[in-house]
Amino acid sequence: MIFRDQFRYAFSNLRKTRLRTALTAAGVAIGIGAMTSMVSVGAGTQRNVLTAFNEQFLLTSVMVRPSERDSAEAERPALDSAAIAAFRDLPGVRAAYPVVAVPGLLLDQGNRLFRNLEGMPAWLLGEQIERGRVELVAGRAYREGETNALVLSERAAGRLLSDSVSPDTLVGRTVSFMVAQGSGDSEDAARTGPERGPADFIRQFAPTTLELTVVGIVKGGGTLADFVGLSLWVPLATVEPLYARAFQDLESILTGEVQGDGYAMVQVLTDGVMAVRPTQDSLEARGFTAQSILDEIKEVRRAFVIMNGLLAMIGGVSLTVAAMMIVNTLVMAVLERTNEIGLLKSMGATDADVMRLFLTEAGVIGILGGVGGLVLGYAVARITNAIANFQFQRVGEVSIDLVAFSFWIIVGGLGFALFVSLVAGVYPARRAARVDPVVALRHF
Amino acid sequence: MTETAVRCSELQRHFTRGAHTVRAVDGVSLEIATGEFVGVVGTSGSGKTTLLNLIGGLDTATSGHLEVMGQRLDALDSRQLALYRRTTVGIVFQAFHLLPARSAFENVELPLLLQNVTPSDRQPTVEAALDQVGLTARRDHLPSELSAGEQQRVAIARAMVKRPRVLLADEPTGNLDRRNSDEILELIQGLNRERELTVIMVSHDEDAVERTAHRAIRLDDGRVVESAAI
Repeated sequence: MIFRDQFRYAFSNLRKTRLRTALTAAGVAIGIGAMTSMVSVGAGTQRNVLTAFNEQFLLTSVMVRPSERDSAEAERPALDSAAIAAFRDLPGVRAAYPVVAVPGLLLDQGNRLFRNLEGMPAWLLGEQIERGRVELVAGRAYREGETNALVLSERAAGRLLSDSVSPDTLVGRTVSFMVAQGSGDSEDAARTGPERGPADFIRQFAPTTLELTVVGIVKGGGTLADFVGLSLWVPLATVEPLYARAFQDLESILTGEVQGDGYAMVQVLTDGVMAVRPTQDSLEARGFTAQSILDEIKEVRRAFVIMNGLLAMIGGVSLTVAAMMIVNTLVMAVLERTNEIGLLKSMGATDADVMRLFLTEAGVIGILGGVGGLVLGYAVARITNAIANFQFQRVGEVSIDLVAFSFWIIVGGLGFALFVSLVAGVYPARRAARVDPVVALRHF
Repeated sequence: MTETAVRCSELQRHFTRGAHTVRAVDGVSLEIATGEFVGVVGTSGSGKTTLLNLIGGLDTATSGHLEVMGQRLDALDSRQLALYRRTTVGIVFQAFHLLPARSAFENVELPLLLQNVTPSDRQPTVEAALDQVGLTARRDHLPSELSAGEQQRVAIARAMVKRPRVLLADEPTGNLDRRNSDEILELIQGLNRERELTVIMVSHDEDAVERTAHRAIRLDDGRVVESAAI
């Protein structure tokens, strides 16, 4: 039988038992409706949480370091400008820049503060202000291409100045930042221990002073991770020249070893939290050590999987009942239509023809139920959303859309309805195919 | 020389019922020529319908040789037997076996659906078959809206629509009154004559067989006890 005839034949058979077909399709619709409404609310909740996470700088970033594996120095890939450029080309990566921080003294009219001078790209600072993670207290953020401009936190400004002076007064002033730099001479660095005399130490500890203009004062605006703290932020181009020869810590001062070429750490920003893990994997495959805060909160993702699974399972129970209804409906149809099956066989229908006929009927029930289920599921999800938002408003929370009734939920819902119906139809269809035409025509 | 339509030798069909074996067909050997109209008569339980089912490919023999239009049925698997039924034989039953929710047209159309004939080709073929049995005007009627004689005509049209080489009729007049019986027998006789159709008709009505068939075969206890030209 050609498919169109098969479909029409099945459809006309189902029309003969309208009520039974409608009830069975309603069973499928309830199952699919329960499943899609719950999954769409689950997906909506996940989307809302992920959106909130994606706006968090720390949750979407990956910290990259040179490999910590026990491999020969020569085999370790360099974490340098070329590597950073390659990171930017990775899928799911929106930015990559070196983490450059130089410890030193911030000096202003006899006041001093020992802190790290951190390089932060101008675009990232602008983005953090735009997203409300960083709040401008006074002045402005530095711009692309601007150098020797300093943005410091309100707390850092407060520490630097006396209590009676407002931090705002710093804006527009030129301050100094004194950095302890090494000579860059490899022989100096090689002389360690007893061979490294006080003269070497003093000769190496050659302070360099950077003149910086304070352009803005900021404070933390976020709640999840206040990363403003006591920060002193300058454009990357300002701090990078100092970085290679600056002493990073006490050990580097005593040994005379400085960073040299390459970076100790690179920050890679991804498109969202879901891109973090694949990015980490790519970076580790390239021989780097890649870590993210998401490693610590991967349970969150696991929780989503479990939540969606549980929600789908509740719908699945309904769908199992619906599948049993399909089996029952079609077994009844086989019993009622034994004569018809025998007749079709006497006219030349093969076992496979008969089986296809009943599977098509099961499929039609599944599609009818699937379409009904999607309508029902959408309605239930919207009602759930309305009730939830009503409650949110009562307790003073802002309204959010809890429902994500995506294209994939529609395709998945219909596909699953069809799949379950076809699986449920296998037993009755096989039973129909096994009907002996002689017996069927003699007794029915 | 006349071709052989059906040839069987030592054909047996035994059924096991508990400890008993029923020998429904027990060593039947016969030949039926193409275009021949054969009536199979005998008492109830003599094996007439079982023999017809074997020739129609609805049932398979326990042993023996059976050949219809050159095809050895005893060598065919179930799928091949289905294809044989689809193309070679048309079967008419005593109880008509029309699908009650489908019109006369839709009932006659069924064999063509199984043959994957397109709707545009089906339409004239079905109409011609209905015309041949004189039911063009009743094409959209449900079986329940037709008389018994008309229902059997629809069943004959359904059997003939695929242009089979052999028509098997199992008590085709068993549920009909005398007038309708005569009409149906005339119809079958006409098909036999005009199309050189081989007809094997099982009937308990020996008078009907004598009036229509070329030859009568009498079965008793699953064996051929008489085969005589009429």
